[in-house]
Order: sequence, then structure tokens, then C-alpha cells
Amino acid sequence: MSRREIVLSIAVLEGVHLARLVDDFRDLLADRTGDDPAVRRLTPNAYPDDEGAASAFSESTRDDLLDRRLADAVVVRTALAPFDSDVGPLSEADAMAPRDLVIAEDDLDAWLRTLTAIRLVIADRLGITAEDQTSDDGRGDIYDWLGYRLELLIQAADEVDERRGR
Amino acid sequence: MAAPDLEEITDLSAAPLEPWEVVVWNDPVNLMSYVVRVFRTYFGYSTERATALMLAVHNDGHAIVATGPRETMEVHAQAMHDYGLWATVRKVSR
Repeated sequence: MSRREIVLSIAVLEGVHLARLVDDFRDLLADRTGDDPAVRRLTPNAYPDDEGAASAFSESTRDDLLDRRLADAVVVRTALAPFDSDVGPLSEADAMAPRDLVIAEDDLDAWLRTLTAIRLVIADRLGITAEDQTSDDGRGDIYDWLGYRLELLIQAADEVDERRGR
Repeated sequence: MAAPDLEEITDLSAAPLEPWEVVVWNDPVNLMSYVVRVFRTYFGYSTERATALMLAVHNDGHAIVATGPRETMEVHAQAMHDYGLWATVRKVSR
């Protein structure tokens, strides 16, 4: 098994925010009782024109899908552990200080799926229905920032595949 | 980069009686590069084919990404949902 890694340098504040987002995301996935619209977006209707087939599909796949999402989120959260020590208020210098985020190449797809899913949740919360939609909500900045980080990770993952000849 | 063999299997005896298809629908959230990557890595499509499918989703609102037996199409739809894409399953219209 390859344990090659990619190393990103991110601001401490970014790492702390990202860890919190992943924690919130895990809470959202763990709650199977509610009918949160964001969770519905993560488990879309596979048969919009056939109610019976839709519920059969949902019943047989929904929990497994959410479990796989949780497993991905755990992988991501584990890599963010170096940011756990930064609890409480940070001075501006500390918040902006760069720190290494180490991601195993084999974990890249778990990262891509998780960042994508968190963006889907935020988009649902913000009511984003069109590309290039701007939002005055502070979460809009987080959404854009996640998109930027995700784009860089997709490039990194594509480069790993190219090197591995896939 | 080598181009994969895109010849369709034309042996009708092996074709499913009632083919089904997986449709991926456009959404404002997923990044174009991500959708290409999912089509490329999950289905094993060439970058060119994956890009063409992504652009079809983007420009036409949806694209058929796979055709075959219903059970297989449901597995593909589940995988698309794992990746956060909005996929549905339907019978091929004749």
C-alpha cells in the first residue's frame, strides 16, 4: 500500500475552521431521525417519477451511503488533528501562521467527496440555486474558500493519477 | 494518453431485454473538474469522454452516463450519490 502523501501549507485559522466544519458535518450525518433538506440533497431521489421504486431504493441504500460519508469524514477529520490544539482565541499572528496539512494520496478521494458534500450542505443552507451566485451571508465566503481548496485538491489528485498511470 | 476502445458491444443476445440508464443532472455546486474526475475514475472513461459528458450535463442540464441492466444502473447511481452528484435511474425510452 502506498503511503505517499501530499503536504499543503494552510493558515492555522483555515485548519481550525475546516475541522469545525467537518465536526458539524459528522453531527449532521449521525442524526438519522430528522428530515434535513441538506441530507436529502446528499441522498437524492433516484426515481423522481416512480414513488415505489424511489422509496425502495432509498430504504436499501440511504443508511449505507451516510455511513460511507461518515467514514470519509473521519479520514478527513483525523488529518486535521494537528489543528485541535488551537482552542480558544488566537492572536492574529497565530491565526495566520502557516502549518502543514498532510494528506495521504490514498485518502484524496475521501477528501474530495467530503469537501464536496460540505459545500452541498452549505449551498442548501444558503439557498444557492445558480452558479456564480453571491451571498452576503458570511458562510458564502466559507463556501467560496472550500471551492478554492477543493479545486486545488482535485488538481493534486489528477496529478497523482497521471503519475500512477491511471 | 492512450484512448480506450470505445467500440460498443453489438452482440444483441447479450443485450439486456429492457435497458436502463443513469442520468446525471446539473447542479450549481459541483465543480466541473470534479465531475470530470468522477466520470473518469469511476466509469474509467477517457478524459475526453468524461469532459464531453460533463459539458453535456452543464450545457443541456443532464446527460446519460451509463446504460445497462437495472441492477447495475442502481449501483452506478449509488456511486454517483456517494460523490455528491445528482443521479437518477430510468428505463431507456424507445
